[in-house]
Amino acid sequence: MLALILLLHFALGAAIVAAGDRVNRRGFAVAALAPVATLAWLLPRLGDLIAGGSGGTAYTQRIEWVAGLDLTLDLRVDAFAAVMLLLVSGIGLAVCVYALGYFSSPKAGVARLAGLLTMFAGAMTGLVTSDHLLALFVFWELTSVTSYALIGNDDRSPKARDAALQAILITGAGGLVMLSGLVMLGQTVGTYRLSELATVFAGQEQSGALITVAVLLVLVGAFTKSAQWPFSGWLPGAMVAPTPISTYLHAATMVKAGVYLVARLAPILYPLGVWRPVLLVVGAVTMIFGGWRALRQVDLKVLLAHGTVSQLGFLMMVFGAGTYDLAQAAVILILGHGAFKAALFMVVGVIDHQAHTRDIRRIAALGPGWRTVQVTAVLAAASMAGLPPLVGFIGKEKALLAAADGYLTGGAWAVTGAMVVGSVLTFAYSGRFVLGVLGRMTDRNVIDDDHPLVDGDAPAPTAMFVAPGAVLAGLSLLAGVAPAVIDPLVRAATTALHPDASPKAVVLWAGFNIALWLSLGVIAVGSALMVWRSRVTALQNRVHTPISVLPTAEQSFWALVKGALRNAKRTTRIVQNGSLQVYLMVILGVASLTFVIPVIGAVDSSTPVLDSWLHLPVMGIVVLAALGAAMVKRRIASALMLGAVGYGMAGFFVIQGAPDLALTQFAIETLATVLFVLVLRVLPREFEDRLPGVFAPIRLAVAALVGIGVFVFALGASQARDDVAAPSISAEMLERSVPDGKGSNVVNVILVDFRGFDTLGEITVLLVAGLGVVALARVARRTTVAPAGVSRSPVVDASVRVLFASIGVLSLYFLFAGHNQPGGGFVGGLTAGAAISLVFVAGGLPSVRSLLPVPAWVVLGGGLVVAVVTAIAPIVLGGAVLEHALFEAGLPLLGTVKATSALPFDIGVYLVVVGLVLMAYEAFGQEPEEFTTEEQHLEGARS
Amino acid sequence: MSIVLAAVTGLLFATGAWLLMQRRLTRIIIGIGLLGHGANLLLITAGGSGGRPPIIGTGDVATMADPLPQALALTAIVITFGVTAFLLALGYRSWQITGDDMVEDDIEDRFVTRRRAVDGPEAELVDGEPDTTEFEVGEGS
Repeated sequence: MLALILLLHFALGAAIVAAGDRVNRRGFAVAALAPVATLAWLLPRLGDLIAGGSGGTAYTQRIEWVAGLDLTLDLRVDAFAAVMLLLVSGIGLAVCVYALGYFSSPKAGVARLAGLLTMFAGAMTGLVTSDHLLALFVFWELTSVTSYALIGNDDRSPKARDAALQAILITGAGGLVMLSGLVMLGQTVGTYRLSELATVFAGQEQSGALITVAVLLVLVGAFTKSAQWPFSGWLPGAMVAPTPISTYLHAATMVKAGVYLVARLAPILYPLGVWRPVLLVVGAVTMIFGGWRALRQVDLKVLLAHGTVSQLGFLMMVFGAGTYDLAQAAVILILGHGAFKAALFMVVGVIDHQAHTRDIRRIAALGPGWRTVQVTAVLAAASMAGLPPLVGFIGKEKALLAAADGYLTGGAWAVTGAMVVGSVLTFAYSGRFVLGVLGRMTDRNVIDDDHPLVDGDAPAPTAMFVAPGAVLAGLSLLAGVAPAVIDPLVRAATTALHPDASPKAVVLWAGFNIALWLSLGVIAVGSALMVWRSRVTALQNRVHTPISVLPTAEQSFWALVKGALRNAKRTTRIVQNGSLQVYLMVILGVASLTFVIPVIGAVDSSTPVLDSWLHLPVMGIVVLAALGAAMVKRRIASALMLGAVGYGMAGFFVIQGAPDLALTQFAIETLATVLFVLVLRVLPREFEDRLPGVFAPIRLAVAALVGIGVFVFALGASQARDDVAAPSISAEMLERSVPDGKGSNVVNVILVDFRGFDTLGEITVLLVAGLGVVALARVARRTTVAPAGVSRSPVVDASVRVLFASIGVLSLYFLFAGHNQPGGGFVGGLTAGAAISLVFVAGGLPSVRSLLPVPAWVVLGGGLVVAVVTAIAPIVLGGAVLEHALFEAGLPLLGTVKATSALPFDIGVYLVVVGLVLMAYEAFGQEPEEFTTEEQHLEGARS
Repeated sequence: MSIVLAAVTGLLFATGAWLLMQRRLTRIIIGIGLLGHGANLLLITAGGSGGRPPIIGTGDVATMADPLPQALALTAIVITFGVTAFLLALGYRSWQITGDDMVEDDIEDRFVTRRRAVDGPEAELVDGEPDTTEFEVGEGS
């Protein structure tokens, strides 16, 4: 069921995006269906999940995908996930209603916002319900991607594009770092399931360096997502998004993802040495810096953005500490923060919508009909400041008490101190927000004709527009006055995180304890900061002036981006300079290094210098011919040298006991040499090298590196086969060749039977190559191919006739005997090709064409058809693809003839090879006087 | 596998690579041919030492050469032939168009590095005060 709801989010979102401007702002009304569905699913189940505050049964759903690879989608909702779901869907619903008021006039791209918002909500829902770390990562990245689109929705604004880019670069990079951490974590601990992590991890040695690194990497991901210092720059920037979007992304969802992950992992991983110091320090720094910067803002929305950064730091500290007391405080705080921050953002949006400014220096009075907005602002800000009787007060009290009461060992007082300082700043910027909304922060210096003062002339907002924020502020008050409303859920969520915890009841009045005195202190100092706010501002400016010399996070980020782009450009200029030779040098150099290094250890020093004396002469030919091919200046000579290498190789195959290979190689070298001659006759006789001289030494070095690499690899690779303990597959092939493959030439049986699919693929490649050859070479052929001018010598003619017939018979022999003797379709076809070459030498292309009644491509394609039909015919007869049967028949004259169905397959192979040879002659076989380059051809056409 | 065979394999690859890095398509084709020979030699030698031809009924199976690398090498030989034919057609086509078989530099690749990259925040290019409203005057209300 839950999976369906996830699906609904994405389907609905896609539909709204597709509908686009046709539905416009009504898209938000449709989008509201998604959170409603989540709530309708969740609320009836809350009872089971809570079960009287002691931690109920979690809801799980598993969707098998690839069972064999253990790929499943595991969804799990416990009480803590329920808290997150309430935030995601509850505030999601409020935002959808609010957006209807905010986008009161139709505007391009609004529906797209609604659709993306729905998909984003789906990603967030998936994130908090995934039980598998990798699934969690996928949803995590989905939130990054959808938030990128949401922030940059106004694609014509450079600011929006910058902010979106910055957000996705920071959160995306953080996500990738986190992925590596999650994989390391999953592999070291041995499970990727969040629900199993605790039990599995508890039974393990907990001090490995690997797990420490893994945890640090995961935390980088969480910090970037939750805008922790020093990755906080993107969050205030992302405020360029329309206010309803900011409300949802940055008050209730996106940034809570990092906090959520830390909350899940903290109870398990806090015993690690690095966990608490990192989280507490980063959280404290973020909380204080965020508060400090919020206090400097004049734009209400930016003030809230920095306030969010500060609050996230606070949440990191309380969740990250890993004790259940603080976790309970954190659950209250995360609920409270969701409600008050959303309400405050909504207030800002209402003011902006009605009064066209968010600048507190320009708001003197809002006017009649604004009472509800002002009350909403005061209530929500009071919750943020931590004033009783609001829910924010309860959460902060609980956090201060748990921190100060010594549940933390060591630096407990430092942590408490940081919370107090952060709370003072929070109180101060909350006050600044309220004073701004109430019109006590005006500054006449910024007022001009373009920026008028808002002085009681802002039109009153509609009730629907104000209601969502007012409801959320009201809930903050309700939960504060009657904490019993949230108590069961909070306690169950705490137990879900800390299974052996016994959380106390959530109460507004906890007695005269240290937290109360601290709270009173916070209120006193915070009020003082408000009363003497002009002095505070002056102090901040004085402190800020020297600090402003240092680059801000924003500037550092862009400097980093600029540097990366500059370096990419510089590297591209060197590596991607357009020269194929340079590309190859790089590729070959890198490739040979990478495959040499791992093999060096495998080299067996006892490798004999020489296996057989017979190798020396053939290898001598190969070496000399290869060096010659690389060095000679004449094209034809170089091609002939290559042929000589091939003949040397064929000799080697004979020695190694591979007659099929030897036959194939002989036939192919002959054919290839003829083709080379046909093509090279049109090209200049010699190479004249134009490559600049500096490259020659590098080329030589790279070539030497490749040679050495392969040498080392060859020495290592020869060992690899002997080291394998399992019986070689070849032994089985030798054994089963006759009974299963019905042939005694094992190589041929492998080709047409055991690995018949391979061969089928191969002849398809040959077919494509044949077509390509003709297509390339004849694309500019002239319409008339004149066979004139072929001088035929009767002697050559006669001897070719004799030879052709006998070689032709030999090729057929190879074809038919191939299953049991050396030979087969390849060898037969190539031998026939050699016979065709003779005909070509004697009579040119016309004689070749007259050999067969059908054109070359019919032979080529027909061969593939024969092979494919043979391959699939057994299916019709109820067998497997390429299954071969043995036939015996008594024929007149010939006696008993045995044939297998592998024969037609081999005939197909034979025909394809013959077809390829014919195609090659079609392509290159025209007489030189018929040749024209295209330029000559055009000139000829002109004259 | 012996050191001599490994060295010859290395040499075939080295000369093949050397020719591959030239500007003449003919040399590149010959280089690919040499690389093909090197690869086949590697396949056969890495597959174990030689023996009798693997044809059942001609002797003791235990003394036979391994048929599998042979089958693989046979496939490789034929494919190399197909590739060589195709490359020759490319060279032929190159001659038809330019009268030569020179592999020229890719001009588009050079242009890529000349293109101006985005060097930083675009908003810097737009002056003016930071917006403190999402609405134009007269819009919305």
